[in-house]
Amino acid sequence: MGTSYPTLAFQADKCDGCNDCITACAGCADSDKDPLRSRIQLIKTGETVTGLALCRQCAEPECVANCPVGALSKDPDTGIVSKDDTCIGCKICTLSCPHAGMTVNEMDGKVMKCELCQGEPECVSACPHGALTFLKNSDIYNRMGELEDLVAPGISACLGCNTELLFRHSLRRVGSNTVLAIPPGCTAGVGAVGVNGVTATKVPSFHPLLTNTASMLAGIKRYYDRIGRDITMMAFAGDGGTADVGFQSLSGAAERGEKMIYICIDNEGYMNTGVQRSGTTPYGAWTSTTPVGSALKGKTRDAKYLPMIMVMHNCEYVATASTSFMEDLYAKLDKAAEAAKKGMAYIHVFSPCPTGWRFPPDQLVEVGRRAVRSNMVPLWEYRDDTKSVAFTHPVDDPIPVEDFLLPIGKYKHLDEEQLQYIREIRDRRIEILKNISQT
Amino acid sequence: MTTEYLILGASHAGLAALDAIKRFDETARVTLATAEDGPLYSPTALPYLISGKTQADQVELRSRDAIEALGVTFKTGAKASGLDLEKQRVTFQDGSQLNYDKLLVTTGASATLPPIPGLAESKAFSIRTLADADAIRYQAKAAKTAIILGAGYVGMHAAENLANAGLSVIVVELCHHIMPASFDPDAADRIADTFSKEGISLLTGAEAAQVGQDGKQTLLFLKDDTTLTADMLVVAAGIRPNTAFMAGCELDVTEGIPVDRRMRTPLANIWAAGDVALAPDFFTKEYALGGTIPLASDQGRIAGMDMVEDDYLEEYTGNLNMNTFGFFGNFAFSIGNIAAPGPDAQVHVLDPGKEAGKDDRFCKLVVQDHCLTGVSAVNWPLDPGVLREMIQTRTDLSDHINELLQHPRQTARRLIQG
Repeated sequence: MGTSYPTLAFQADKCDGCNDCITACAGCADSDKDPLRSRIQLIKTGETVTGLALCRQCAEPECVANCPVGALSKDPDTGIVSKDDTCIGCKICTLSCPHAGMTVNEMDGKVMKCELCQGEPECVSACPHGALTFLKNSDIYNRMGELEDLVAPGISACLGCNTELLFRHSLRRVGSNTVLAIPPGCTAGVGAVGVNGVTATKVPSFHPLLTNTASMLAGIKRYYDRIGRDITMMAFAGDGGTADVGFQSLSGAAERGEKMIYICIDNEGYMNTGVQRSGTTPYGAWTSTTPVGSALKGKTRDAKYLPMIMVMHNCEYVATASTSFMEDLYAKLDKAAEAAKKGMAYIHVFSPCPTGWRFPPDQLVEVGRRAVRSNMVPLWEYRDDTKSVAFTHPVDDPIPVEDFLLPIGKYKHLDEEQLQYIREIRDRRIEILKNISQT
Repeated sequence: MTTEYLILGASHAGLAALDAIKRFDETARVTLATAEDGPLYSPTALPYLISGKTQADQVELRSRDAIEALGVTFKTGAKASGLDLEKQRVTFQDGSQLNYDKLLVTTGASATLPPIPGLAESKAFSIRTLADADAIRYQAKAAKTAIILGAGYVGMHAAENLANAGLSVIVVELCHHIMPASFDPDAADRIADTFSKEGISLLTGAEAAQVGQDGKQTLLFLKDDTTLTADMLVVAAGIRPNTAFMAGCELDVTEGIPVDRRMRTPLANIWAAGDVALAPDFFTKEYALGGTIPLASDQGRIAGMDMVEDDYLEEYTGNLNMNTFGFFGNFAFSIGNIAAPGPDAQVHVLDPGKEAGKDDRFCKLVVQDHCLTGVSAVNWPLDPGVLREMIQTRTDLSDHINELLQHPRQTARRLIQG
């Protein structure tokens, strides 16, 4: 596996050209802070900043290949391209760089380049507008890349499927010492429980009925406990198999404190059987059974908010999550795995569906982001040891609900009256959660 | 069957090819063979060794450890002496032999002496190897005067170094201005002014007729009956590709090995790159030696990618003049067709302005068919790599010419970004 590195990201629309980054960079080179010493420079169209002239720490840097004395090198651990003091000043590297990242310092005639302050860029701390950020998401990629992928390559999910993303990563995180229960639904449909006796997972998985996932898993767990083996039980069930027809067995298992991680992949309907509405389909959403026409305008009732119902079951751990916020999800999987040693751990994952919701597959992660940023999908967790609900990604200044809803096909018909009703549902839910989280 | 890759030569082209092969397939079986038996170095570093700006132990291109860490068989002191196309086998001077499935020739070039009577028998120095640099440095300690034959990059670098070492230096150049292959007469004149001010004599349009030796003194007779005398003569008048080991092939490779845009030679399973390869020119498509590091790296990478059949290969866009030149604290560079722009090209010389300290700046931009085709500059703050990208990608300048002439650096950066 290749290594991924942190990146200096620039959002030009947030930059007002204040030059604080340039002053900070120049200040690292010399106390006179002369902007000519700065290795970061703004590219402007008229007065508007449109980009940066800056070293990109290229994956296959031409400047390194072209240095005649080996003075330039890329550190395989940090990804930083740096120049050592054997540089002879030939400046061939300035010919090699199309990003204006290798420049001649007009003060002393020497070549200079950004070396990311060895991992703590001063320009990022100096930027007062949040236009410069140092993205370390690569840490997650590198860390997760070390873990074994326990799902077969090439399962038959739809293009852009969130279920595959969630399934693959959750199993990676929780590990191979696991037995899976996958009832009828999309996860089973993509081949996770197998074709002709061969499953798509490297751990044992079985296919309960839609109605008895939690109770079957409880039985298997009790068996392993009895023979003295510590095995993690994990369910991947859809919202139908969890909130509707599967709910009585889940509720019973939670009531009894059965030890398992139960993941509900909430794509807000019966997607693999033709996009019918479920108990978690939100108000106003189009489905094949809540059509949009001259009289009807999508679902007329609000969704049941299952994660709060699970909190009231005295579960060990309850959380909401989104694959658009992976680090948050990973942290919750860790806590769930720990909690499942004592009782029920329930994670309710918001799971946008390009096929059933009608949006382009490449927008999956963006739809998830907007759901959270608009407060339509608050991310929180309940811990039984502290008896408290806490927001894990609080959004104090949410984006408008229509920015999340209207790009999605199943919501594109919404009128202002419906949007207003959705805002009220959202605000009510957030208010309840806030009230609980404060006590 | 595992493919056996053999790379002859371990400078920029050879190492770039090695990296490209290993990036695609880290298990590939590669032998890297170089004629060098010391640390790997680039001839570009030699002038800086002569001047003492750097030392021999600081110019290593890549260490043996770093090469072997890639899982490569690294054979040093291995000068190829023969090639058997039938058996796909290279013979080395020590008699050893290596078979290959795919061969890359990056054997580089050697300094060549122009056919001037008496030159071959004289004690003239070339500048191509570490030993050459050592010899010149040693001789310069005793010498008071030097003649440099050839006013290209290597010659001009040597002139500056020897002048800095305290010698009285004369540069003799056949063409009517210095650095004719890379700079236009205007830029060359700016550079020449600086050299003249530093006390270096530049004899342009001067043709050498004969070389003689008078004791320790070297005599250079010019066609105009002038006779120059000096303690040392340095010849920097061209290179010849190292292809002698291929003499048995039916292909004529004395001027270089012709390659296509994937660096394939006409010979089966043989690729060539770097100073040994005759590749098409970016503008004229005529075949020539590239002769610079960026082109050598580019060619080597493309050759390596083609050898391992890497689908991400983008074909070679062609040889493009590009050079940087630092002299007496100044910085000049040129890219593209600057020395001989076509008759329908527009040549723009930028106004240096009246700012004190900046009036020695020079910049010339050549535009043809709404695209930048060449640039030369002295002490003008620009980004050579950005301008190179504009030329190579034929960026459309129809609506931006005036802007580019007004604010060349900002405009070029903006047009290339994203």
